[in-house]
Amino acid sequence: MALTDYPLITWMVFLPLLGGFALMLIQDSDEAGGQRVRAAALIFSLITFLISAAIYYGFQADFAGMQFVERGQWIPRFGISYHVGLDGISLPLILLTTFLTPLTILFSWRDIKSRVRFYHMALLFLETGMLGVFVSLDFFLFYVFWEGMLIPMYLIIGVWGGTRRIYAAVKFFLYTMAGSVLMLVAILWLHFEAGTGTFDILVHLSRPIDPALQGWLFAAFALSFAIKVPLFPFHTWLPDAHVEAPTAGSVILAGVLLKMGTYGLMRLAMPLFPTAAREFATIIMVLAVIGIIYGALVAMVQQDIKKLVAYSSVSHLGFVVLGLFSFTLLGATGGVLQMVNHGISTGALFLIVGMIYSRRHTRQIEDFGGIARAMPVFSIFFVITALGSIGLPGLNGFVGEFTILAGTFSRSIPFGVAATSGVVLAAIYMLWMLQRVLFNGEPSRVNSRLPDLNFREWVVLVPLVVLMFWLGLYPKPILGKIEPSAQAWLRQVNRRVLRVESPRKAPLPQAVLSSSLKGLRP
Amino acid sequence: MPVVIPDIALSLAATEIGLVILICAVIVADMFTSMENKSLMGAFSFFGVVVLGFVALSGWGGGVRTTFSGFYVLDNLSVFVKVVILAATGFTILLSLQYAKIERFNHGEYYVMILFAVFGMLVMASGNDLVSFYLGLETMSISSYVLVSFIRHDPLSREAGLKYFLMGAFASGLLLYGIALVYGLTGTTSLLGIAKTLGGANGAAIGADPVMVLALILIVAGFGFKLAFVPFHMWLPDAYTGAPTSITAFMSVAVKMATVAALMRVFFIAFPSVAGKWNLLLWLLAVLSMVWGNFAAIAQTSLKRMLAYSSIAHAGYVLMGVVATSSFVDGKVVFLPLGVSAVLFYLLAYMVTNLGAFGMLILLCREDYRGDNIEDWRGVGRAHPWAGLAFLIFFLSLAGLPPTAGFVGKLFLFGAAIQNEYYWLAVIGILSSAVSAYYYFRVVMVMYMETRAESQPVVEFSKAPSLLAVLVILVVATLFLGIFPGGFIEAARGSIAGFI
Amino acid sequence: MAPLEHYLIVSALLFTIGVMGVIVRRNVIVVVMSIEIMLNAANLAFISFGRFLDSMDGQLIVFFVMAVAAAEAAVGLAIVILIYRNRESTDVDEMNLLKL
Repeated sequence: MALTDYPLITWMVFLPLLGGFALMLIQDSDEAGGQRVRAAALIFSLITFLISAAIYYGFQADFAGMQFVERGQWIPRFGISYHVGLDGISLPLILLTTFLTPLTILFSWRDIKSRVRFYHMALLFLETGMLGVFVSLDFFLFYVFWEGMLIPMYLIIGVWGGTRRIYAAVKFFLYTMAGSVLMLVAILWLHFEAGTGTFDILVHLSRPIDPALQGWLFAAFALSFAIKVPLFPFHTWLPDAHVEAPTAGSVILAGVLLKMGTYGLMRLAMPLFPTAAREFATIIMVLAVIGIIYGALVAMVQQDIKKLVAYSSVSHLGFVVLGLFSFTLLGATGGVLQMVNHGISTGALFLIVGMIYSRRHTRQIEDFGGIARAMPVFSIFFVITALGSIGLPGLNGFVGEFTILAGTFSRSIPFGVAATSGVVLAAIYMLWMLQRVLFNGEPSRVNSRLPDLNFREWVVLVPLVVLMFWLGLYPKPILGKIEPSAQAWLRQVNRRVLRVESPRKAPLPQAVLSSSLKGLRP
Repeated sequence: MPVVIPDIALSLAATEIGLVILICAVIVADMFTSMENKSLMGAFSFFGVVVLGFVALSGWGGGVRTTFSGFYVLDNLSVFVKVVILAATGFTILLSLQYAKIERFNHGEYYVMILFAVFGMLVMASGNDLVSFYLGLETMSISSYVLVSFIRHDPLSREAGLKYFLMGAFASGLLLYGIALVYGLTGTTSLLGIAKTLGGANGAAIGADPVMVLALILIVAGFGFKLAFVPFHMWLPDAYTGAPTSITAFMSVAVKMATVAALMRVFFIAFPSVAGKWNLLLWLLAVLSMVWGNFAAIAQTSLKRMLAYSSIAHAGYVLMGVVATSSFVDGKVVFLPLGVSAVLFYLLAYMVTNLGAFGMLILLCREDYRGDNIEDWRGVGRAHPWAGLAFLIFFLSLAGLPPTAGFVGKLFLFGAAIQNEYYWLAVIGILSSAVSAYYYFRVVMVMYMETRAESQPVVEFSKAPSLLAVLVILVVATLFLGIFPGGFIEAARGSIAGFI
Repeated sequence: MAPLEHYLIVSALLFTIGVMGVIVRRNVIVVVMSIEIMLNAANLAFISFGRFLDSMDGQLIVFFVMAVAAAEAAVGLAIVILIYRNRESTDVDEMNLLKL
């Protein structure tokens, strides 16, 4: 039996959910119980990772369509089905998710001391939500996961976060909620008004939609995703959420949640409404470039390392959006790769900031300086990760950013030039921060006594750094899996839709007047 | 002239007749029960209601049958509504068993009055004539006035009863005058007769008559007061806050269910030819209710009062489904089944959710501690994860987030609005529901993210098994309706058979 | 026989008086009485319509309405007495325990 015959996706998506419920059975009242909870959560997330690895192994690189597809009726009356599958665009993001989750659990081993069970339940539920979004091929299912993942994240920020956690949690919740409800209207329109009577995403992707109507629909979808990315004017929730969230929350937020926005743009908004996407492309590219430069400039003046990393996310995600909206193969492939790269580097950066925070209980740059002497190994990891994030050749960030810039230049030189300046700025704020934190003179008395990495932290960081080098030096396996799907995607978004016959809903059932009057009363 | 005994098929009204027998039995049994054992009356009523639920269910699928000279109709719609109402009644009685002792109103009459109100609701669900509606409505309302002021020693409850009574009686006066005008214009009070006259030769002239417009406004206002649509809502927050919590829960779901069913029957069956007029009025009420209900709820500090305002907004969502049922093609109205089935499903979803939310308030209630302020829930989610989770699920459903009943319900309400091209209605509704997420999640925030102050009493939940059982059932039902709604959607859909 | 309009005008006047009474009067007893006037206005309309339509329905309905009105008044006044016993007042403006 081939791998594809097993319902691997269902197992992968719902195993964390199952695990979350299983945690309910473990008491976490004492320290030993807490350890059992942590171990159980780690095991569940590792098995999930193994399943996703099996999917990666069984994935056919030369096939552009959906693979591992599973499909079943759910609510037949409204054309809702349980329909999941993945292609070269979702595969890297799925791997990223299943890869980061065990690392965050491992990282928060000592970090989270209160309500351990509840925390790990939220984390596992969150994983199910994220994986579900990446594999859903039905709007209903997609929306269920999309909204469902909001609650655990809200709780993670709000319960285990920093001092302004409640404000950050509410802001995060409201921004995302406000965006997604408009998407719901557009989804309902596609279902009821476009006359298909189905929520199946693939069916909708194959149908042309009247260009005259695409504008509104695209705007509704794109707004929801732009808030999640976050694109420039909608980004204000991000620094608060990142800074206040516990480290694991920041890692997941930056590593995976932000990718949902770009993934949504790529999977839904652009191919569903290609004409509108092309019309809006210039505006969105302008916003993306503003985001790149603005994010970098604001990052430069931050005093708080975590905030700096948060703003660098705004900048990096701008690259991804730029790549997608360049409508080139290089841009699209680079965009997907950059999503993964950003997940790895920024995830690692947040972990590193978390490590130093748990030692020193401050994140202010001015409190540090010269700690490379006290913590040499830590500093090496920090430098490698930062360089990967900047895009140094040989590390992961370079490949993604380079392909995106190549794609952008081939479409528009001004955008390319503007975006390239973002790369330069990134080098400035990262290196300057490194210099002030790690080097700059002698460590103060407190800083000179900081312990270097312990075994658990090694275990967390080594796989990330290995991946950074692997993706930087030999990205071919993953690029090879992305490319066929990216090509298919490009065909999809480049198709020209001329006028479509005005969509008419299903024939109306004939009417109340006649039927209710007939033969009931003399 | 031979005397003709009218052919009255009593068997069609088996549920109502059975209910009257139950009421009499409870009244008699109550006389022989000592004060300490009044809960037995609750248990007795509960089992009676369960049996009646199955009796009502047996009427499903029998087509449209009328009796009492056309005053009474039994069709799938009425069966659906009755079963949901009886289910809500059963849950309410179980919620009350312990609560009535805590609030010291544990009298047999409490259950009798609930059953009387249910009788009125059942008649409304089956009313096929403006007069039978009116009688059902009044039976329900008068019993509710008593129920709201049932905690006689509590000034809040008394005042709530008075306010509810004054507004309710005023509304029924408006409604009655509207019915009188319709009777004068069309010569009949039968729904089908009115539709026939309005659709007949003189129909256009009657429909355009300003008196007809006045009659419609009066009827809409009457229903508006009863269902508390903005701007007819001012009694509701007071009445819901002052009433015993079990009765607030009961009114917010059962009264609403019966009245909405009646509203749909009246407007869809009797007045389709003037749909353009009432539809516009209802559109306006729906928008006002959704927006104002949600915004006013934000400012509340009392959880009970917040849920009261939120129920105004939910009535607005339901009304949106009613409005969205009508589609105007070439000046002619066509009713689409999606709207009505969405309304019915939503009311079912709202029934399990809102009963659950109020049930949580009862769970926290003690002799000396009402626990219906948001502050009272500080840190509860941390200390009591199961209760916190249950409340979280109810709030998710109220806010319309997956994977809960409320999400599926809202999805189809908004879907109906979009299908019939009420885009503004859908957008306003969905944005206001995003606003509602804010205040629902404020409670979640207080529950999970804040710590209990030293001055606050320790949380001590009720341990009544009946209450716990109901809450577990309601949580499961809320999730089940959200994840596997297929069967219930089919039922809601099937209840339109013979109606639209 | 007086034409229908006369009856209807009286009925409409009664109804208006009732509505105005509910809106402007502050004494609960008077408000309850005003509601009764509204119901009786409807009754008058029913009877006169029935008479001119030559149908018994209108008069039948009035019987129902009278029964309802009696029940309503009984319950309503009971609640008013309940409050008066404690508060010694029947002014609706003083019923302000339940405010935001």
